[in-house]
Amino acid sequence: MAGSSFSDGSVSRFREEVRSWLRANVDRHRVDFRWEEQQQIEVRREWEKALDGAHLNCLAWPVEYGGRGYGPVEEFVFAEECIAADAPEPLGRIGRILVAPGLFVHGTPQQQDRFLPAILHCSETWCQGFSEPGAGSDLANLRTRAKRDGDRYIVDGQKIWTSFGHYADQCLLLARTGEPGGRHRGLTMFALPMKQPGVQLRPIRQINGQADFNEVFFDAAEVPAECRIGEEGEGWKVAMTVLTAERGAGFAALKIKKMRDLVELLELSLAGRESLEPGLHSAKTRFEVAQWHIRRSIELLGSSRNPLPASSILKLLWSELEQDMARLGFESDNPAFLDQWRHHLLSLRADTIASGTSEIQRNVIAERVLGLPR
Amino acid sequence: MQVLPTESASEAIEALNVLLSSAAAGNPGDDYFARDWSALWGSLAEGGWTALGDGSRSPDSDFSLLDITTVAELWGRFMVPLAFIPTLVVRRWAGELPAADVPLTYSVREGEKTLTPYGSIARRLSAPHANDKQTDSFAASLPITVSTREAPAHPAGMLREARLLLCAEAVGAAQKSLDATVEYVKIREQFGRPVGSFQGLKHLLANLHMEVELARSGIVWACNEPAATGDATRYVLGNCLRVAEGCIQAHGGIGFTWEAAPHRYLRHVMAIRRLVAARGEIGS
Repeated sequence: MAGSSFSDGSVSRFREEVRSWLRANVDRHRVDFRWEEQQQIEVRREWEKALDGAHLNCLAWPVEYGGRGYGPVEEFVFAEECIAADAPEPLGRIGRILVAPGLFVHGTPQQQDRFLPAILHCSETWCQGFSEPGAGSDLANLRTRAKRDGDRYIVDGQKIWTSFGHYADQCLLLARTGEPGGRHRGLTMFALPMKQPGVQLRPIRQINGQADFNEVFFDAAEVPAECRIGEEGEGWKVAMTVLTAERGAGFAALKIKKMRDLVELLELSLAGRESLEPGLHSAKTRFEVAQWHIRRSIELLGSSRNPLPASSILKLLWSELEQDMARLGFESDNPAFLDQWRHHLLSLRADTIASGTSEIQRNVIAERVLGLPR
Repeated sequence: MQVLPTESASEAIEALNVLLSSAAAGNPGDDYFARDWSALWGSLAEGGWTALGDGSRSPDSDFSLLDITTVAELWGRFMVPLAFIPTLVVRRWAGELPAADVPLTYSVREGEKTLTPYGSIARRLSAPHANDKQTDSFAASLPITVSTREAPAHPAGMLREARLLLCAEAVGAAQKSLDATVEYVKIREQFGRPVGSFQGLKHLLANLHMEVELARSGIVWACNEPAATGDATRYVLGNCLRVAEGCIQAHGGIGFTWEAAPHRYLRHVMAIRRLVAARGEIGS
């Protein structure tokens, strides 16, 4: 299937549709970052419902599930327009980009009816329960157990790096149903209800002082057997579907915005510091190339539907460039911007670790793109 | 905004790939560069490829500049010592065109010197060659005629395209060098395993893969924002140099021998860099 191109008339028309809808609607849904978290979450939930009302939520979902069947180019254009309009970020990212692609392929019709409309209409949000303290880069080493008990499973164990955990209704949980030490075999995927006594959360304080993630503890937590996604022992297959689903386009637009903000802050911070000018020039060049690389990758993604060749490069590209910019900004020693650069330098350390470390990304490029032996 | 070649251009380019893969097969060694390439030139002219730059003059030449950079990138993979890309550049800008099978070239000014890529095998439309010319054959793939006291005034737009297409050729050479290196580390064994299974080498090659991909995006940047050509070409060639150097590193000892191919790609990129960096007063 040939994907869309940025120069297509249909893409320009879609951009216009989004732009004029945003112009008419976004003002009623502004988020103020000084608000309490709960208040921000409510605004974002209402925003996502408004998007759904305009048939602008879950654009990449197939039409039969309520989406528009759009490709990465349209998703990117949508995100660009939302960013330009300073719209809030919709709430249900995990459900939309991770859970749904898993359910399209592996979910029963009953599960699709039960879960997909709730994601589309933003009545349920999801978190992801994959990583564990002993299973980070080595996901297949995970130990959280799910034991069959009649028409339900009993779950014991611990997950970590769970974003959105404290307000999620459901957890996409990868747990071990087979023998311990069975690696990829013996894993099973579940939709586990989060609001139950057997689930406890503890926020993780990061080096920048914020707490964006949680640890989740399962102590005899229950999940109905009908909420098992795929067969017992097929969890790895489901996880791979979920992890390789194309989901970079909207995020890529956010990254361009973030990099542009950093470049602008660098220009202010480095003004008059001649010895740092080559560094600034190099950062700006890398930013421009990154933008064009993102656009090129997104069109390629649309025509091939294979996210693999692009996704690792994109992640390395923006995470490492942002870190280099933060270091340059900090080294400007400009007292007027010291607080901001200290914050960026610490915050951005997570970006080369979370969602697959840079080392893992390079292994993926070497083994799965270049075809080097394991 | 155009970020990928059009579908029709891609199809045509695939046909060119088929032609080159058979007509320019083999490793780029001394024998390769010493071949008689006139038959390939004939095929290029016959297939209409040398008239690709003629724009409206030729019915199937609706190639955009970005499409042509993709042609140049493919051509760069083969490092054939023919003035194919300079011919396209000159034909895109020349008023009166000679027959499509005549190889053409341009000149750039490097300080007191004039550099003419493939000057000994291709014709220049403007000023005649000086008598004091020498050939810089640092790269057998890209011989450069060096002379003094002649400075044809090419339009700035033509020189911009010339530099951009040279850079696209460099991307092709870097990509081919990397491809060949990846194949080599899969079969070369040390410690009883293919060296390509070691993480140190994997990460080096992953980085080179990124560099060449980003170099390609640098070309796209310059196609869409002509004012950025200077920054973009510097960036692209920096990446291509690192790729060609890294490929020598990944080969180990054989990598710095004359007989092995990796230095040919590095020399090609270095020769391109000389031409692209030559700014002089030309075009002003």
